[in-house]
Amino acid sequence: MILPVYAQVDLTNGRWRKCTISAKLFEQYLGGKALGARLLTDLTPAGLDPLSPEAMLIVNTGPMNDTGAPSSSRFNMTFKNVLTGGIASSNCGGPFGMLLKKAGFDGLILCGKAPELSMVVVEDGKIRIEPCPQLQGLDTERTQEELPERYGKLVIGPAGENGVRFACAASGERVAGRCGAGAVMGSKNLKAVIAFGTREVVKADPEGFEAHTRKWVKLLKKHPMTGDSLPRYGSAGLVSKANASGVLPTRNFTRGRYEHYEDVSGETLADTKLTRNSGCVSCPIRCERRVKVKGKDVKGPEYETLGLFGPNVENNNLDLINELNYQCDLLGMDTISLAGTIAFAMELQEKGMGDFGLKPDQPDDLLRVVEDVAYRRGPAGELAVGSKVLSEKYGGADFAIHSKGLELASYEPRRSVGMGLGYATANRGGCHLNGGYLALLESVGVISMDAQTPKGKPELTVFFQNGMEAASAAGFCLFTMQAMIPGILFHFGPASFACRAAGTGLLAARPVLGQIWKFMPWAMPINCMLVPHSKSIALATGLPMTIGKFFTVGERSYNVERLYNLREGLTAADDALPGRLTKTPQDLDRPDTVVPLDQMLPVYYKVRGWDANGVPTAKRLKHLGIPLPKEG
Amino acid sequence: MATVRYHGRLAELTGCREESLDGANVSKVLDQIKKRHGAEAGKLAKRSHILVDKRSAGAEKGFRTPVGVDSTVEFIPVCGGG
Repeated sequence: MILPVYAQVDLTNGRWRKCTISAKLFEQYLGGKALGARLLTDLTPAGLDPLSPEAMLIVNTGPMNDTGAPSSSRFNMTFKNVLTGGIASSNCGGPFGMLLKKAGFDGLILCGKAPELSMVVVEDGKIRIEPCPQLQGLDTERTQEELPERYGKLVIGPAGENGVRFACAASGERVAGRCGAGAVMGSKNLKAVIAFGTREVVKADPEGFEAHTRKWVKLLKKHPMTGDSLPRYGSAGLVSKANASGVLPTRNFTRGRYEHYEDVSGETLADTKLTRNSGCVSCPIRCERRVKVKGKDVKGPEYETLGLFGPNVENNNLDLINELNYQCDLLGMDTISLAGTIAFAMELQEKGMGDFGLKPDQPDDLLRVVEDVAYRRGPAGELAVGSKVLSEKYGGADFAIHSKGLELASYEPRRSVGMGLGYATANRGGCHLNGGYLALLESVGVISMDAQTPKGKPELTVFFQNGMEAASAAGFCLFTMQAMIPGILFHFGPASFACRAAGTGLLAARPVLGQIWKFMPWAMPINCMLVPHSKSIALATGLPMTIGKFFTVGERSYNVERLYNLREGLTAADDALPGRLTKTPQDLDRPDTVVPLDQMLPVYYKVRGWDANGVPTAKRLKHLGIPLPKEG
Repeated sequence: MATVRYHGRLAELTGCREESLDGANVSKVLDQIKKRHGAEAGKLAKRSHILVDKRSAGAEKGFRTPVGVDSTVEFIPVCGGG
């Protein structure tokens, strides 16, 4: 078995050293966010300022990167979350991860602070640090253009240099968007990391792997979700159904439906703006939208950006959303956190609680606001701290739409209560993917499930959180998990008996789903094409991977992240949502259109094997092979 | 007659975004779509998210969900994302 090789780089003095991950850690955590969380916990003390030189930034791949497995180009950034103070992982589909691996490293552990603006150059097993003052102030596109062409690049824009707390990092046109990865790089005077090499990934069973990959690609291309709707509409296709289901956040999450939703829908985007679809390296799904902004062919907005820069700020100008999306990518900012913070600031301003120079009646002014935030200038520059910090200064905690400090994604959870539980319990804060993405089952997908009942939601949330955590750890795109939903259901249609029975059946399976983790990984000692990920990992790495072990990697990772959060001072009280979502019904005639967190959280903790305070029990940690945290 | 609205590829197949159709329930409306626009349109409509007066037919009585003369029936393509 070939073990992952990492490099520890001290940016302060330019020293670096190679280290090999042990076989035990590799088998337990694979790589990506799971191994990142383990390493961050082990290698840093509690209580660090996330933007201090002592803070650590781990940029790593998973074992599947560069193997040619479908949708496996995702790399990860792990660090102390700038917005929440807990764990942060931010995932990106750009080409950097693949080139890092070709350069001879599975991951980089970066600490310290360079004396001047610098870049880390990784080339054929060697690392050097070079000053790059000439790149200061350049946007992410110009920065990458100035760097040598054949290298994989990971860069920040002006927002990262200026310490915007939700600044992102970019690789190609893809970004590691959430939690402030760009701010961490900026705090270390790190403008870029570039990598080049020619190393080939050695697979344990090359022939078996190729055969399995062919079969899996065929399955993805044949599946109605990954082979038709995602390539056709991208995630943007969710706008219409989200609106119909009442989960399209509108006017800072006051409503879940927007009267002009069709102006910003995926269908309108496809009909009027789409130039072509595209995708990440090695991905057969090709969900990326390409659009024109001022005559230039650029990456189009995802559903999140459409929802949050559209209905949530009451803007129905699709051209403007495309331009805002591109502008955020250039300046290096997370569209979810930025748009969420703008919506919150608009409401503060409307209520006379603050003045940020916003002009809600002039949507075009958003372009100026976005720039002011990136450069932290003028009254709007104050938004660079994010919703939580803003609410601590100006009030409005009940309508500051975040969890733990991270702004919520574009799903209004009062009409998808399992999604609400996911937001509240996600280790990195208000994230739909880290949260288990139950909206796909409850409100926007093919399965017809009762979106308001709290019953069964904790069990399903844990199941999907663990599954997606494992996929991410291996380097797979989470969209590959959507093919787990049997394709036959799409042929019957969401109104069919089969899809309605599937929704009811999943909720009815809660006694089994609630207990299954006690018996993992032995409960699923097999590999099959329902979850092709595990066999792919086994064939590529030689690890004795099964579906049970795969899900256990996810569960282990979720617990390590939780322990990190607890160590950094977060508690069960932080598994919360703003009052608007838990106390005020979305539909005043239906009292059940709130997120009943108080009913779901105790069950969620129990299913996870945590105590009533949300602390993992020694028994569950022992079961997962996680060392007990040190006292104090 | 109920107002029927098509989204995405179904609008392409039927050649319109909106039309009026008869049908006492979703199943009958689907029959009308198939009759007027062909089998492929009928098949795609059946596989869509079907909303009757903004309520999901999947959450009501499925294909037997009643459709009134003043109802609006929408057909939205099933999508994924995140």
